[in-house]
Amino acid sequence: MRLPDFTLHQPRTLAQAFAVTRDGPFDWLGGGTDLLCNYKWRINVRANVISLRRVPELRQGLLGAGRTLSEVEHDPVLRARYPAIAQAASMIATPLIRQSATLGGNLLLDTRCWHFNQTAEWRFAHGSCLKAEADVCRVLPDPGNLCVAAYSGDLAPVLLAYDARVVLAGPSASRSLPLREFYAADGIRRFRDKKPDEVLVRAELPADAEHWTVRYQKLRLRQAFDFPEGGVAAAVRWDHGWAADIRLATTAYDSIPLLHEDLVAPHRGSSLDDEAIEQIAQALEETVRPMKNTSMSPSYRKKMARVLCRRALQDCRPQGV
Amino acid sequence: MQQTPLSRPRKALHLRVNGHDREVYVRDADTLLDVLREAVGLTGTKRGCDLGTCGCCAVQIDGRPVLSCLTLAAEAQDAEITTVEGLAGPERFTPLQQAWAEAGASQCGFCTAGFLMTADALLREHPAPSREQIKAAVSGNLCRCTGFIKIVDAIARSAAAQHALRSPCATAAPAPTQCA
Ligand SMILES: Cc1cc2nc3c(=O)[nH]c(=O)nc-3n(C[C@H](O)[C@H](O)[C@H](O)COP(=O)(O)OP(=O)(O)OC[C@H]3O[C@@H](n4cnc5c(N)ncnc54)[C@H](O)[C@@H]3O)c2cc1C
Ligand code: FES
Ligand code: FES
Repeated sequence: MRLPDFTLHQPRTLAQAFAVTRDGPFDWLGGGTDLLCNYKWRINVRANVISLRRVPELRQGLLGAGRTLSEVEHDPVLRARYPAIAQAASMIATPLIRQSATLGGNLLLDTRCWHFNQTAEWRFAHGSCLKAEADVCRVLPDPGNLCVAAYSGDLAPVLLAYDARVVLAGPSASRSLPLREFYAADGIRRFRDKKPDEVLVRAELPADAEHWTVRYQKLRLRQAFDFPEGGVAAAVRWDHGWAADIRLATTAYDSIPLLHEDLVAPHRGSSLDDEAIEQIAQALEETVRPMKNTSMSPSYRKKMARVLCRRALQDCRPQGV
Repeated sequence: MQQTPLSRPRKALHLRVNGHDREVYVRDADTLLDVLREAVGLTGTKRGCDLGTCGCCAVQIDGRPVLSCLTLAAEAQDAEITTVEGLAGPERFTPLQQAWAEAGASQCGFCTAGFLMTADALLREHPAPSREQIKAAVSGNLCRCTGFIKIVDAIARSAAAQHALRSPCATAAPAPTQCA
């Protein structure tokens, strides 16, 4: 499968990268393990591709956007202090893909749908969809102009559970914003106000991140290759045996990775016993609304939200409880 | 320096493959897999899915195993690229290839190059991997023929043989064939 023609730019600094954005429509390229697959399928191809691989600014910091998932997975500091991040990275795709795939590309992963991630021939035979060449949604009869393709990145729920921030750089300014305010609930627009010429530079953890116990559970058929069919990250800040604060985040259940504040709020300050965990897990199952646009059935994925949630919260409890 | 133009020449690109300098003429959008097979003429690296879902196209870039189907050729310039042809000479096998043959880890052989490049990188980083480490390392490579057990056996056998060479019978090797 030949890639369609484009001009590749390989800037060595962010300033050079921003200069090229004026050449016309472009896509940023991290490791290319998502973008190049879409390009091979002739999905939303742009005339220019700007590789960020040689930009040193993106490789700085523990969670630099240009770090590969393999580096994240094996980073001794992450493994010791924020193991859920290294663990979630180790569950993404395959070891070969993780050698190239980046943290930045993972957080900005395009949303996915049966009717979209297909060859051009398949899409044209089928009639394509909102997110590619047509103006209809093949999943819902009337999605209200919103695309329901699933956000399926594995790192975002974990970073949401840590309440991470993302640092973006643009041609004229840099800014930092909470990850929870980064995404938009629309599989096409995907981000609330990120401009196309802004680059994700890194993610940052809050000062108290080490005081949280974070665990991630992923639903997939095979232990390698498969995107999450559901993913739940739980975070608990323990204070003398009490769950002083709790966070719960999901991926693959919506077109956006979501933080579920209202589900855990009633249990803040509790001992997070089995009953509390079951209540949260049940509430999550009732909340998530998986669509019929991935391999597993929506009803199974919905039921599994409860199981994943229960496991993640139980794993957060101190050993032996 | 060997010059091998593609059918649609665009830009000259300098690649270092298996220790040799190559100048090829490629499109910006050509993958390393396209270029290795069609411009450099090294067809040991196989095109399976072309989408990251089989591992047949694995090569090493600066010693790291990567998928050449999802790597732009231009992104690999200035790097040391190793393909299956670069593991050993045409006349001899590496210990890993020898173990592959002895364990019967190839049937149709289509996946073999990708597995070898992945396993070779693993053994350099972990000379005595456990079976679990081996399985995890090759979990991005698919084989339609062997059922994987003989592949894991071959890698373990190679590790054990090399361990025995390094310290004959000094300590027990972790792989199945241990020193008596
Ligand atoms: C077989 C297979 C299995 C996979 N399984 C999983 C899985 O289980 N879980 C999962 O999460 N993903 C999975 N993926 C998807 C992908 O490999 C990963 O999400 C990976 O982390 C993407 O990173 P990348 O650097 O390759 O992204 P790219 O393909 O380079 O980019 C992805 C998107 O992010 C944009 N982008 C990249 N970097 C930046 C930046 N710094 N600033 C702004 N925009 C940027 C690109 O323009 C593009 O839109 C899988 C892919 C394949 C092929
Ligand atoms: S051909 Fe590259 S992974 Fe299948
Ligand atoms: S030997 Fe045939 S695919 Fe592996």
